[in-house]
Amino acid sequence: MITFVESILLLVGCALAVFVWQELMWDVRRRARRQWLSRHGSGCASHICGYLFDDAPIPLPETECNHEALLELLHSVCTLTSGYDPRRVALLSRRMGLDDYLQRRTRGRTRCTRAVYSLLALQTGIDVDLRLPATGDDLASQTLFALSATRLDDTDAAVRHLAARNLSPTSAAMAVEMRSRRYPLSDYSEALHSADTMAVRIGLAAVRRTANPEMTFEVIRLVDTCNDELLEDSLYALVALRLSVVRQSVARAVAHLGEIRRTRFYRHLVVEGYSSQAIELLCRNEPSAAIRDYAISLGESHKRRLDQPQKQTVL
Amino acid sequence: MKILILAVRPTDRYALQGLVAPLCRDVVVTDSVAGLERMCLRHRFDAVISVGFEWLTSGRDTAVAVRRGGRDCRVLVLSEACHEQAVLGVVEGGVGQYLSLPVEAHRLRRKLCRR
Amino acid sequence: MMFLLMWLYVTAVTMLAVAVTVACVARHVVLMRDGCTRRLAGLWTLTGCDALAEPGVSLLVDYDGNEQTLEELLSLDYLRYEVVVVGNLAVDHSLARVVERYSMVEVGAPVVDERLSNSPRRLYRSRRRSYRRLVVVDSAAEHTAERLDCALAVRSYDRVLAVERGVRLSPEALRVMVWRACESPDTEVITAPVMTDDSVMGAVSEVWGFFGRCRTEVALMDGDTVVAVGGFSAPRGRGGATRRIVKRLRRAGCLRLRLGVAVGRNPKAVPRVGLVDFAVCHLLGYGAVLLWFGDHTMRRVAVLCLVILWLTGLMAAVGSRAFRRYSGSRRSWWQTIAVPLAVPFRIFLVRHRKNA
Repeated sequence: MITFVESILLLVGCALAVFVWQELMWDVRRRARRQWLSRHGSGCASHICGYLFDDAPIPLPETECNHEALLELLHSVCTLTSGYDPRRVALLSRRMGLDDYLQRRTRGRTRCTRAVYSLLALQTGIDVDLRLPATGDDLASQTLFALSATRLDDTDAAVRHLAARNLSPTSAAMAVEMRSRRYPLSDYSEALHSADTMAVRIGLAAVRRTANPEMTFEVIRLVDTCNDELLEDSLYALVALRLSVVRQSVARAVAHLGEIRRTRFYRHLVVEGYSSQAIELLCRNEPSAAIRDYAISLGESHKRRLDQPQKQTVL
Repeated sequence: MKILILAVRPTDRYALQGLVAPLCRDVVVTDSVAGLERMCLRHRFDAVISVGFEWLTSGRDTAVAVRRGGRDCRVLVLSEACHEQAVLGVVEGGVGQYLSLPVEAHRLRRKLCRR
Repeated sequence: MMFLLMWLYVTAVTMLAVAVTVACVARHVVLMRDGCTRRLAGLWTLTGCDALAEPGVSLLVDYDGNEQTLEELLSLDYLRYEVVVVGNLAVDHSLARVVERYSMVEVGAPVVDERLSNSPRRLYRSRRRSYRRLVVVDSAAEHTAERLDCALAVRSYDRVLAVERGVRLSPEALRVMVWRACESPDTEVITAPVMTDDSVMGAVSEVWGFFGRCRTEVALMDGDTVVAVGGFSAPRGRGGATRRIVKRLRRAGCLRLRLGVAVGRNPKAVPRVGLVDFAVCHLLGYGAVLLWFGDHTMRRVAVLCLVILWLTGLMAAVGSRAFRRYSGSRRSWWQTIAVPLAVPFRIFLVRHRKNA
């Protein structure tokens, strides 16, 4: 006869045994992946690169193929290089069975697992039917949603798609980065003229990433209009373009920021290499003397004023 | 031609190995700075390809060890970083060529073949 | 009366076994989630151009003379960060060697916030662009917290991470922690554990220390918030500077997020005995008593308890082996299986290490 206490303990023991098994299997899979890579990695990589870049015949799948390792290898090739035909990647993944493997993994149990494999699929360009999260503010969901825009040819359509959700700067930057790999000539100037704040934010993320000097007038215009929601984005975009901050419009915009955000912006100017004179001129109308002195002294500390004799260290 | 590849991720090492395979078969790979220094002291390389440039900012003078491998040794750094100061710092550290990722395969091969 | 006490005791110990199991399962879930987080952070393409997408971090380092640690800190897998090293140039010759090695020149120090009680004596930056990440602060401060305050005063980025003596970060530490910080922008403090060492003792500390108070941690915090609460020297109490400031920030209402994956190691840390150690010993003692004195049913219960205890330890040990990447440890399978068996001796081993 099993008592009540024993039955509880038995249930607990069974649950634990399941988790131990899961962790053991994770370790075994990791070792199998490493061993496959050490044995077949270089040969497989040569075949893949030969097919993608040198018109070599499509490689035949090996009998014992570690899909996880193969996926990581293809991902490395796709992220390190450019200039290959995406259709060849699609054909290769179909021949190797990677699209079925990814399809299964993107239906994984946890959101994070689905996010990892969906990201791998998007970054390699393998065509997989992704179940994108409709909601969710976590970075994984946002990034997945943002990267789905890499599948859209037209830049304006991609921006409209991205503007449908409130994306964080990190997700927006990742989306722009991935699109710039696939469509290097993407033009985001229309996004900067949009009435939608989120679309403008995407455009500004593109400016910060690419530092395209053709966007100069649009960025200055946005700083002039002093829209509260886009203030920080447009100021940082202005700095990314290395434009002068000694302007009345910049001073007006900075005055709209709170104390902490102003301090952070001055710090950012110092790190980006603006001269201490430029920071001093910008801080002329700074209401807080402490912040003004701090910003100017930090700038001078970074710039190491050459008119003063350099003090040598006595060892 | 003898090439040394430095990359932390194993799949990056194999990918680069596959990429330069049409140019040369004599490719040595390593995953750490210590390995890079050791290989450069033992062998003479025509080119060193590095994914990332952390070894240039640590102060280890690895560039000296790399140059000891031969004056003609070309050092190519591949990185996603596009910040101006980072790139200037890399060039100042003694790197012959800085290429931003993703790099065109044929362009990389041309850089390796050029003398 | 005796029967009632015995019954209460049996119930309490059974609930304890269930609680330890639930804690182990929670740890497993956290590790799986953070393993995925680590993978996602690895797929993140960093360009160093966008300050809003890639927040800058200032590492505040209390220099212990180990140049290899400094080299590791200067070659982390992240782009927007700086290393602010604090020491006393007047007495520390290793710091003077650093100044010479990295071609550093004295510069003016920025104005120190009045809320911080310690200010630097001198500040050094490198002439070379490739070493622009390194900043050396000369300070007469004697304690770690005061030195960290000096580093906090001269930082150039918004987020800070204090690296105390002996702590060695893994190359991907910043990438993972900053990714997690970007995932939860409302969280002001992200903490992550740091392993002690690779021996069986270290493994036991890591496994059971996950639940207890004997973990060494690093914390990614907002620098302005740390200044607002008075810096690292303000909070008094036991534990390292990081632990005290995290407690202070939590009391001030800051949200904290705990990462499960280790981001570095600290071989110098001496683990402390925690509540879980006493609970585990109690469970073992109960099992031993039942095995010796109990009847047939009680012996079965005792055996089940011991098996559960061993499974929880094994799960935690396998999990930590599976997710451990840094330190290049090659812990063998016999060590992994032996770790849960070493748990009862942990208290004695900790005391021995403390006295040594």
